[in-house]
Amino acid sequence: MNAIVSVNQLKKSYNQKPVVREISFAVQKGEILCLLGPNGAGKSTTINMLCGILGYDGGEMSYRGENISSCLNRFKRNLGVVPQDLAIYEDLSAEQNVRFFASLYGLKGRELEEKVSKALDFSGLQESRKDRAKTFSGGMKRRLNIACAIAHEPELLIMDEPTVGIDPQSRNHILSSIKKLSQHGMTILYTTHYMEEVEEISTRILIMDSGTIIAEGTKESLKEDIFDERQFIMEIEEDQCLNVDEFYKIEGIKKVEKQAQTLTITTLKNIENLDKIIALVITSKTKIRNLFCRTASLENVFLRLTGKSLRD
Amino acid sequence: MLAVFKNNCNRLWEEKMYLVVSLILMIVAISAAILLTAHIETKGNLALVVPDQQVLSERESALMANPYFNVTVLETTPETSALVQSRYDAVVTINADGNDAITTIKNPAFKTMVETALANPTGFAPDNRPIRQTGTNILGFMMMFLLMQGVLYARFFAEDKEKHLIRRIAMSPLPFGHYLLGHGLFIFLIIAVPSFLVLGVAALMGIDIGFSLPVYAGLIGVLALLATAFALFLNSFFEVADTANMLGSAIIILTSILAGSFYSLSKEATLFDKLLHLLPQKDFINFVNALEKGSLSQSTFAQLVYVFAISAVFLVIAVANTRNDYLYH
Ligand SMILES: Nc1ncnc2c1ncn2[C@@H]1O[C@H](COP(=O)(O)OP(=O)(O)O)[C@@H](O)[C@H]1O
Ligand SMILES: [Mg+2]
Repeated sequence: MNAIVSVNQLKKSYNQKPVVREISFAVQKGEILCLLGPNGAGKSTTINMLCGILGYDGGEMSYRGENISSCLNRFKRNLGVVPQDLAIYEDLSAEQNVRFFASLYGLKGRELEEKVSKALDFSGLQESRKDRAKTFSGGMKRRLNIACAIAHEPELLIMDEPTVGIDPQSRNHILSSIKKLSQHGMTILYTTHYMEEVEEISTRILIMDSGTIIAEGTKESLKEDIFDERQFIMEIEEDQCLNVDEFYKIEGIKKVEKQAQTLTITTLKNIENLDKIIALVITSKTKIRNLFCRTASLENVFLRLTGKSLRD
Repeated sequence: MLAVFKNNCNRLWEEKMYLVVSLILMIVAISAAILLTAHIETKGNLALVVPDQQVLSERESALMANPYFNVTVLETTPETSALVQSRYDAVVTINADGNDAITTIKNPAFKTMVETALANPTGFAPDNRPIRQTGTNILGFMMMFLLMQGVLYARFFAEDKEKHLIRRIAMSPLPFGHYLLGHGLFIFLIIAVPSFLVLGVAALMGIDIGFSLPVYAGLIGVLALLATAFALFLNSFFEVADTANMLGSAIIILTSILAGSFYSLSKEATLFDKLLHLLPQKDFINFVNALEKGSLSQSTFAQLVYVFAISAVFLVIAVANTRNDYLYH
């Protein structure tokens, strides 16, 4: 088994109110595992318990098959954490910040300086490395927050909503750096409530709501599993000969809409009927200019699973 | 541990003003202590006016030999301005009939004291209440500032807590003990070293500072320990740096004044006075006083032990409280 970390039946309550309800999951080597859920789902609570800064009421956590408490120091040495709330020294320069956090992991001398510089480069902060963090924009602070967690080149990087409240440019920078880190072999556990981020970077997804993991899978498999239908969207050349009602004779068709030059056909996913649909259009002497297939978004998946929208 | 220590030094460097202000306060406190002690310590300067080559009586000769007064014999009464300028504390005029008149612009108590001395010059010794000497005074004045500096420099620790930096540090492999020791050591040294240097400079300049520098090193060490322990103790209770800072300063000012760091407030052993011994400042200053006067006893040593003990209690509570922020697994 290649699990770096596994969590089993982990639970936590605040004042008898369960916040994390016996969740279990594992983080596999090399993956970008996204923990997706709305605010208050219990993501940070889970992360904090895993990182050892929050007590838990029950369950087990292990690092490479060994109970975390018994190899805590080794686990922490191989762990990098980007906390949800900025945790940087505003009065110190970017470089001093990264150097301090890296030195907590036992880095010294030349090696320390090299890795600090590398992390600053990586976060695009090399030019402002001498500037105090308090002069930074929100996006730069977030990037510094990340740089402080990666300088020691951890095996597992846990990021708790590292992109909340920043400009799109910084966000793109962060997302592409995460992909780069992953390519360099880092394993990443990433929490967020933004669907787009999950779509962009995840290799696997855990969907969390009200303290429970309600679904797990890749973005494709989640959509496949949850939805039994898909949509074909056809751009056609306007033709009066096309009779929409004809489509309902094809097996599996659920809904057909025609708007100007766009034809939207909703059909059951597990029935192979695309050839019949196309044949019908062609026999109606209508020209197909474009055809694409739309599957559900993760937003739809979440809506379907919980009956509520991910956005508040 | 060194990482935390070094980081705090960097943070201090960004706020150099704190260091400058505390150094200035320390210099002012020490200077004030030295000046005030010098004033209190002066022997009474008496002018003995003996007109017409009169022969000094036995009584008057005895007064001249009394170690508590500097007596200058004059033939004519000095100008009042000499009193105002404090050249003399009192003028004793011997009249032709052998009676004497005392002129002073100091308080009546002083006049009475001179009268008593004149009446019984051989047996006279001034009221034997414990007058503090230079070293005790210097430490008494420094004490409050040193304790306040503890709270001031513990702000880095407080900030770690307030801005959740401590949680981030707790996620690193740095053991809790090293973390707190890093802060403690920083606070201790940043209190002890500059104030010791100020005293060292004063000693080099030839100013009488009461104790030798090694003794000062030890005594300042005790104060710095108490200050560090108290600061960590207080900050371990609060999430917000400013609360601990303000509360701590208020407590320190109040207790230092009550404990009589500057002047002994009460001379009698009332119940209140005994309660004041709960304040470590009072025990410390009593110990220092006894040390300077060479009258150490078991009870004064017990007072020193009490200061260590209360520091230890503060530290233990600080550790227990902060551990909750740091350790879970
Ligand atoms: N210290 C706390 N005391 C009481 N309730 C808390 C505490 N911390 C978090 N919670 C509650 O736990 C739930 C989950 O919080 P959190 O893990 O921060 O969610 P997320 O990170 O997914 O937004 C929320 O309802 C929050 O109100
Ligand atoms: Mg959160």
